[in-house]
Amino acid sequence: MRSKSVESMIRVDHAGEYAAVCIYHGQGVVFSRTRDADKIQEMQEHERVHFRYFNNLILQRRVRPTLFLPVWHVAGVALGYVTAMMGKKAAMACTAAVEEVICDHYSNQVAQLDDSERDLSDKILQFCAEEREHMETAISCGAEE
Amino acid sequence: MYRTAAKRLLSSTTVVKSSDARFRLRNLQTIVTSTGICTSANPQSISNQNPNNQNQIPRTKPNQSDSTASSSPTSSSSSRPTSFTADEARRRHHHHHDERRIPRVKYQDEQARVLHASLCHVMKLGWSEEAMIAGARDAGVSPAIVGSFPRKDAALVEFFMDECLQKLIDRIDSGEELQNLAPSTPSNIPTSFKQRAILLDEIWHTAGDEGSDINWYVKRTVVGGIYSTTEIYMLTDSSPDFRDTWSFLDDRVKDAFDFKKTIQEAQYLAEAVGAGMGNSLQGFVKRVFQG
Repeated sequence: MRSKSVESMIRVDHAGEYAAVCIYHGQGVVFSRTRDADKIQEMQEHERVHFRYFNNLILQRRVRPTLFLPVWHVAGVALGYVTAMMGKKAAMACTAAVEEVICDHYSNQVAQLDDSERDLSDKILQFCAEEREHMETAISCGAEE
Repeated sequence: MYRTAAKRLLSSTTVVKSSDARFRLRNLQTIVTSTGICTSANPQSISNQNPNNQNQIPRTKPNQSDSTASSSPTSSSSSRPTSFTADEARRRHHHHHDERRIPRVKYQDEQARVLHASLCHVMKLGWSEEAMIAGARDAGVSPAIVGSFPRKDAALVEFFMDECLQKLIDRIDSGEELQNLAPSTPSNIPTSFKQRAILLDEIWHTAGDEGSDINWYVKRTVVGGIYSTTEIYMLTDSSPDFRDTWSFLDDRVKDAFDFKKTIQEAQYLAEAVGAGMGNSLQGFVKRVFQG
């Protein structure tokens, strides 16, 4: 297992979870007084946990974090905010789409990891399952409207 | 792992403040620039002291081993030197002592031996192919091997710098009293971007950096600036024991932490540039409308 590609995986995942937190933040701002606020908060908390995990990996393994973090911050919050302003359905559609992409991405990564990174691949699988839950929550929420 | 070594070095500091980070950073900087990285004047010591550990082929970055035993740092920005006992620290870094390697160009055994031997000739023959040919002869290898190096002259220089960097890392690992190393004139350790990046990462890591966002880049850029200016200063310094350089270094580090002053200087610079541009624009416009 080339350590360089593990490093870049960690970097990408770190950025991805950071962006996810930002997206939920943007959506949460718009929905802050509605019933969905709780759900969004909960999902954001999951993403935060994921982010903290990758953050720790970055520090432990001395991986270089991505230079574009500020860009993802702005883009994420903007995306969340705009889709939320477009309405609940749009927001949920956005969430579902993002989570689906993330889940695919995680599955690809796990396929690339070998046995030397057992812990990492287990964690990623777990995160993948949680993201899939988010996706299903979003779909069911959007479908109810 | 470096944090433990650095903490051992600075075991007297238990106060946690930004001044602590400053102290550690300064200390680290003196460590780096004063390290016994000798020029070609003293390559024997390098080739003699590293007979075993440099020639292994797979040079994986030991991030895996680091993650298992090193304490997992939180992402809080104030790095607190937790109370490691000296024993625990010693145990930890001995465990990792053999595993810390920088990512280097891989050389086969023979090539590495030739490079080692060539270092001794650099003083007379310069960083050139002649030195490598002489080195090959010393190592008992046919001089034709010189042709097989991917980048010839650059290979020798790169090898030397990698050795210096590795030696520095080993020194940090073993937690020696780095202040008392016997330096001859220090050489420019990293002139290539990648090695510089590694060096800056080392410096910050030993000083206990825990940022993982844009600060990561900002800090390394700042330290890079401090390092280059200090290095250049050191080349023209003739005071005993490089005392002037250390005080220069102290001032630079203080500058870095003194944000207000930095911002003000940036403002002055911006104003000066703006005034200059304004004047030149004015002159240009005048000329256009006259001519």
